[in-house]
Amino acid sequence: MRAAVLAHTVAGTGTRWLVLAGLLGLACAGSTVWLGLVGTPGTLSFVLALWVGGQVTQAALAGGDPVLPPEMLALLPIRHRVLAAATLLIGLREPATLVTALALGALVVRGVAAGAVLVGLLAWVLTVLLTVVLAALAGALVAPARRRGRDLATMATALGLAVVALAGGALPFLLRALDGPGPLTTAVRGLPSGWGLLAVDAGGRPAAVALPLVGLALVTLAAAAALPAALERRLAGAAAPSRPGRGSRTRRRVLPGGPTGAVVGRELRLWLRDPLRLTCLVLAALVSVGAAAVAALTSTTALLPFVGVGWTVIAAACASNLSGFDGGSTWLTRLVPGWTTPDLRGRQIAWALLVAPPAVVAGVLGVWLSGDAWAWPWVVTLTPALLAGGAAVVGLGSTVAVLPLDATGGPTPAWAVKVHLALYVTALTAAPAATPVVVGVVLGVPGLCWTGVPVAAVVGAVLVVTTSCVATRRLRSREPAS
Amino acid sequence: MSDVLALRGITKHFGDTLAVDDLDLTVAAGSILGLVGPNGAGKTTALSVAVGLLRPDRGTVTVCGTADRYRAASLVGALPAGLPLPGRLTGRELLTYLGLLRGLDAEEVASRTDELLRVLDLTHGDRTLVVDYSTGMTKKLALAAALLHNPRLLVLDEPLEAVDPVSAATIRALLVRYAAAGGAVIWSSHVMALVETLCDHVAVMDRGRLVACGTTEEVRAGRTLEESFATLVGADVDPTGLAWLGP
Repeated sequence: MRAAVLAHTVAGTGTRWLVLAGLLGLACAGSTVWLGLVGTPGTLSFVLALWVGGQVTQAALAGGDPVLPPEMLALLPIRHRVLAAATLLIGLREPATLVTALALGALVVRGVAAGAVLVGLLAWVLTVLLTVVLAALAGALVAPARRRGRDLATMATALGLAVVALAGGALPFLLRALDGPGPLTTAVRGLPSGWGLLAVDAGGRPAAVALPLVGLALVTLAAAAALPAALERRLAGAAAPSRPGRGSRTRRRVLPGGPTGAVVGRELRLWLRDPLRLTCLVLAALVSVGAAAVAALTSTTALLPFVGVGWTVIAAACASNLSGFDGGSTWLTRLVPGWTTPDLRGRQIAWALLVAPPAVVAGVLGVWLSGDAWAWPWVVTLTPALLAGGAAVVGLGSTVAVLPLDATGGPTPAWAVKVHLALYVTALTAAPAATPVVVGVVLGVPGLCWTGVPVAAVVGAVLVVTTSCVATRRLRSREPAS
Repeated sequence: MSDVLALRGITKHFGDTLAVDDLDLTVAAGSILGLVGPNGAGKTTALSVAVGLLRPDRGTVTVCGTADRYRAASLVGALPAGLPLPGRLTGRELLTYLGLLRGLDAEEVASRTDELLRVLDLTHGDRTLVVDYSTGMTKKLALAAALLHNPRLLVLDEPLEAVDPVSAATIRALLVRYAAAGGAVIWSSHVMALVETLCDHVAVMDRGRLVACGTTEEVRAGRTLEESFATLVGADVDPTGLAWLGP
């Protein structure tokens, strides 16, 4: 049954993305196996922790098996122990598990190189089992029916990925820290994902080999023993009433009335409540601050003044598909006469209200912290230029290549492409305003640099007005007409 | 009485599938018309065309004599089937947003929202996000959204599906009063007994075509509506199948 559902899903999605993801996974797994030969214990433990942790987090994010969730079997007379066993068997046959198992083969390679083949094999089997059992347990604990749990898992995963991506910038430091003994090495070797490597590297001392392996087996068994109860809790709790949410009838209105004010209110609430939108904002903050912080720690403080600029560009790119995020619920708005202009303006105003204050504060703070006074013309020119350009991208992006969410409520792979394109387009909108600054710097005429500010104001206003007109026309042209 | 809704020659294809075929249908002021038909008959497509969510391949839709979509949209309250509501707003926030978007005065919106939530028994979920609503609560909130701007025409696709009996009785009474005051309702349902008791007119669709239309008495033709319906759509009930079923 699961194979049939999976086959239909794959046929519906297209195989190109899967082949690409598979090749990428295999390349990463191959690199890990190679690391098994040449990596230091700290580095290899770190990479093994990423593999195991990644699969467990992915399972938590998906709320277990999205292809055949246990809820589909809830009404059948199947004991939870049997269901747990079936979940584990399915987990073992997962394509992701096969790729992880290949990566964990680094333990076998390490064992062969160290003359401890049997220990390497045993460590490999136990670590693969641990991964499968922990992933199943995480999936059972975060049920899709529990919206808040799923929201948190979505955000945690996205933020985790951002931290990993940022860690790429600090890779030399990370490698140095993992190269020899130290707190980071001790921490990653102390994780269960590193216990197999401890046994392989033990040099054949019986106690040092046996202890980590027995520990691995015990943790795996304990997690497996907890799985039936977790599944039972999930299936029993699926229909449990949720706690009341937010919203208060006594709250004072701070936004102006009228159609545009109504859309602004809706958008502000959605930005703060929709995990996908909120994750976009947090990611924008994390990446812009993180990139400048990593650069400041490793080489230069020159990026600090541009934290606000980076934040604005990323926040605009992430918001380039807002009507796609809203999905099918836009029908309510589309039934209201004259909805297009207020909807477009409201989205742009709400985005600007959320993005502009942090952008300005970050710009001022960045220049102050770095002491780079040369950056003032850049910051004062680029910030308004990109805010206007971002508002234009937010408006136009809602009408161009609108990408609805997939069946699970997540963005489709094509969304990443749209975001990347929107990053470049948003950055380009600041080109006219940046030109006088560049010319002023090249010619050594500071006064010329400041002429970028009025250019930013004029070009920004023109951009917002023209793109809004185009977007409104496109929206109206798609409306059904009698 | 004058026609509030008039569908003339509506035809709609989805690819090679003909969903609605040359449909002519009118709903008069003060009338409640029940639209019935087997699954896949084209009811939902016809109603989606009527409210402006779908563009017909051929034919015209007029509401209170106007074919202008902008003016028609302000006269129609719609409850389509199967379309989601914005999940991350509370019921009160959603109604407030829609009222203000429609240009109603803020105080009027607040007052109508209060009353709708109370009448439809949604006040206990006042602080709950729509994504956490039950199916019945979602249906009632969608109905509240359709009523909020006091439209001249209500287009309701399975409005009582999953709604509790007390709320269903309230909604029925509310619609009867609305029609008595001159409003028009077109209502699709699979519950023949409900259509028979509530609607003064009935239209039967089958495979995209209108196969019967008239007053409820005319369509019933001396039988129950269910019997007439089965005859009209050629339903063939086979009681001899699944002989193995039974304890």
